[in-house]
Amino acid sequence: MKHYAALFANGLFKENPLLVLMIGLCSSLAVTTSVANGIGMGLAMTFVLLMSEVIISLFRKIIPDSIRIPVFIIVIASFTTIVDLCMKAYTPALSKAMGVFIPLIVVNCIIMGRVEAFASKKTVDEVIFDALGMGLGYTWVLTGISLVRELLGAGCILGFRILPEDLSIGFFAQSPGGFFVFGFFIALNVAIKRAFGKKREASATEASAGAATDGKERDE
Amino acid sequence: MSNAMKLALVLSAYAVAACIGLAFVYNLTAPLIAQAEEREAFAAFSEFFPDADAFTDVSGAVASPDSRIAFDRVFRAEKDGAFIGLLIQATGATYKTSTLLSAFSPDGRMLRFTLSSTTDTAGLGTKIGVSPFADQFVNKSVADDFRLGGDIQAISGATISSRGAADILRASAQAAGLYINGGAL
Repeated sequence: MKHYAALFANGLFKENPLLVLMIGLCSSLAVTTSVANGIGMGLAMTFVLLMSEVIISLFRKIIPDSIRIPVFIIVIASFTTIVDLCMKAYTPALSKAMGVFIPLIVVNCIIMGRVEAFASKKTVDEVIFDALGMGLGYTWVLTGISLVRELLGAGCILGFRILPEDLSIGFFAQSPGGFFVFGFFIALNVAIKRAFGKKREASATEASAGAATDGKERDE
Repeated sequence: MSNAMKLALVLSAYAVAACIGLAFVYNLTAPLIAQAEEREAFAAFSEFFPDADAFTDVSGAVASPDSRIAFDRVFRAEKDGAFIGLLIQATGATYKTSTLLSAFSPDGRMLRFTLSSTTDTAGLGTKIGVSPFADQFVNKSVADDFRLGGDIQAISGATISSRGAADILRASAQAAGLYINGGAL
């Protein structure tokens, strides 16, 4: 169970696809003008990633190595199309808002990267947790960026007005604002990692100093 | 069997399996997608004719007089069985491509139009859907010229988009005029 939890947490924080691996950035910056779009994009990507990784893991031993990339593309494109059709049928307003970025999930580096590097080599149970971790890691960063951009750029969250319109800063609704907020998130992530790293180092130093003192006392 | 042939067969097998799965999902979702598009279209139509209780598809009875302009759909608005207006959604070349939905009253006037979609330059070509360019067409007679430099003023910096929009609306107006006067194409 610990192994699965580690796999899941890996995608959420340690190897977050957006903040650490920095892949799949194009669509993440384009759709984060509203929280609804951010969540929608994240969940759609998570579904495609999960299903693609599961199918490829299931058939990994019978996919010839020389044609593995075309097979991966067929699988990823199929699930992307399924998501596109389902969104048009069941959430037409969200589908319209997302526009071309749903079909563009097929060229999202995160999916091809994980399928090639992980799903084609691991068992189905492992890839499920990896896909969920990576997908939800992508989703939470997208949601966070969207929250900042929609609040500061439009004064709303999920369409509900929070700040007066006069206080909206148009910069955050535009592409440069997206880069700015994304850069801020990366910097915050690095700062938090360093702080945790220092804490762990300090605890390890204390523990080893304590063990050395105990050893000296025992010798005496 | 050569290795290349084997690989081609394996790839084909994956492709066929994907196609079967996609066909299944498509058949499941196609009716729902059509219903959603109809609901969206009717919501847009209701903005022009809020009193209408029915919209009838008359696309077969109204054709574009300009081969460069395609009529995506033509609907007749009715209230208690009486004709209260005509809606024409037409697509044509502007700077790239634009789709305009225009509404006409039974007395031969264009009520107004909306820009349904466009791939023109944001901030330039997209201005065809907003004031002051769009205001020139409110209550315009279907018999008018709809010509740039004549009864229509172009948007500064977006002449091609303006001309394209005027051409689309002229075609819509001519077809609407024919339909309203009983001489549908």
